[in-house]
Amino acid sequence: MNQAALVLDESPLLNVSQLTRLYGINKGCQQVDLELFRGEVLGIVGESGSGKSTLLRCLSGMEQCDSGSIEYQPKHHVMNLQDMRKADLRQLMRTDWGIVQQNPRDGLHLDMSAGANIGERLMSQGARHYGQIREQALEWMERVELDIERIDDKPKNFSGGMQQRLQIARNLVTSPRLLFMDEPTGGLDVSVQARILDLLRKLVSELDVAVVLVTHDMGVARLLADRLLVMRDSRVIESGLTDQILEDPQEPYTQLLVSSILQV
Amino acid sequence: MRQATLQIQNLSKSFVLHNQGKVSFQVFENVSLDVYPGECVVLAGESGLGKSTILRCLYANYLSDSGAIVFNHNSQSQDLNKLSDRALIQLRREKIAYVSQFLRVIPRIPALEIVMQPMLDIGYERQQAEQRASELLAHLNIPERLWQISPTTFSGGEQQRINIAREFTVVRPLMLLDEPTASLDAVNRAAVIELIQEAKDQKSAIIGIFHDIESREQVADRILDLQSGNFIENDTWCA
Repeated sequence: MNQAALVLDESPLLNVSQLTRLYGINKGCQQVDLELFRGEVLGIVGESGSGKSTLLRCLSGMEQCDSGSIEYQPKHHVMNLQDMRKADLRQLMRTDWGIVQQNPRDGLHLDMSAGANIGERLMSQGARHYGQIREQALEWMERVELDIERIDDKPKNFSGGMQQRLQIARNLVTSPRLLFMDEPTGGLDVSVQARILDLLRKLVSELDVAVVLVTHDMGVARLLADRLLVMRDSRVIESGLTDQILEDPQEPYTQLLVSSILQV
Repeated sequence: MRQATLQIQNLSKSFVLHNQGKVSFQVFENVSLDVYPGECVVLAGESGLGKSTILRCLYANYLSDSGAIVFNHNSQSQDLNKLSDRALIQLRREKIAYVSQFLRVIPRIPALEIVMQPMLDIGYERQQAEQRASELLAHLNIPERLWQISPTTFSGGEQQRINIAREFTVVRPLMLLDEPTASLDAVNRAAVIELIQEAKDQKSAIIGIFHDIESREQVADRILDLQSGNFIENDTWCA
């Protein structure tokens, strides 16, 4: 019992303070503070241009920030992202972190087989045994409900939904502690969306991975996120428990955002 | 002296609708109430008095304007209005059940899985969770052929019972029930009332809203009339 209970005095996995990256006046993100803990799903919502994707790119090391600090603490040792060597950061991104892009074609090698796409991350972790890599690739194809017969096929011939599931498998195979997702169901049919959401929910809770999820879809945020940050014009204007933000939004903009959700 | 599980002290709630001419309205003001272990307090009064709003403030879906919501358990005392989001998430998982009037789930997840989830979240083995979830679904007369189907296609009454099953899988010290019997027939109402009785026997403190007088009579130890702010005397319940 209770092994899954949250430890409230633990230090955050990701501790961000006063993060700023601006392209123009109020374009990008500024003065963002956030904490992310183990196994927690943090949603970042807001309309296009509010700065949520810029924030995600800075957090995940894909982009340099102008100022502020990002501390990552996987165990007892705190790493400061700005001070890290490029090679160390790349290694972190390939193994301990996962990044699921909105467009799976940006996160996959389309001309490499599905199996090689999954295996590549295992190899950057040091795996060399071909048979074991293939076995894990097969296992992960099953977990994301891809036909294992297609392990040697190239993802350029997959549907969008299959590509997205392959991208998820590729990222989760190394059991990352932290997963970044940018509109993971963005370009997909509604029927395919539900399947991806269900998969993500299941895998995130099984692997106890922490997630930063950027989405403009409040429905996706409601179903996946524990907490939400609302962004507008480059700033975080409101934050709280997901159902509290959705049911009792305080800021005028958040009220507008929530009232625009179509009720199904 | 017995200690109350929940002490609501001078709780007030208003809403400001910024996009509708900044209309502001007060839902309730200075509500105070103690609820003891093993007791069920029913909130009564006409629609619009804020019965559901109180429950939502207690579950922290709504932010209270002022006042305290003191939760006492295992000689720990916490004011819910002052807790961090993370502390609230933990408290909800382990200590507070909330049956809302709506079922919100990801389509595709089977009913059985949805009912099991709260137990899995606090570390139960799948087998144990599945056994308990099955017991509850059977008790609430959900036909077994529906267990592996997503409840998004279920009728209102069936969805309501999935909601109830999910919240009654483990005994929690505080239970918030927002019209759990609303869309149910007599047989299923009785099944729900039986679950509430069991929870009371296991010392849960319960706050509920029940519109049908029969259910209310069966479960309520005290009835708070939100119109007057007074408890309704036992012998005038049916008046």
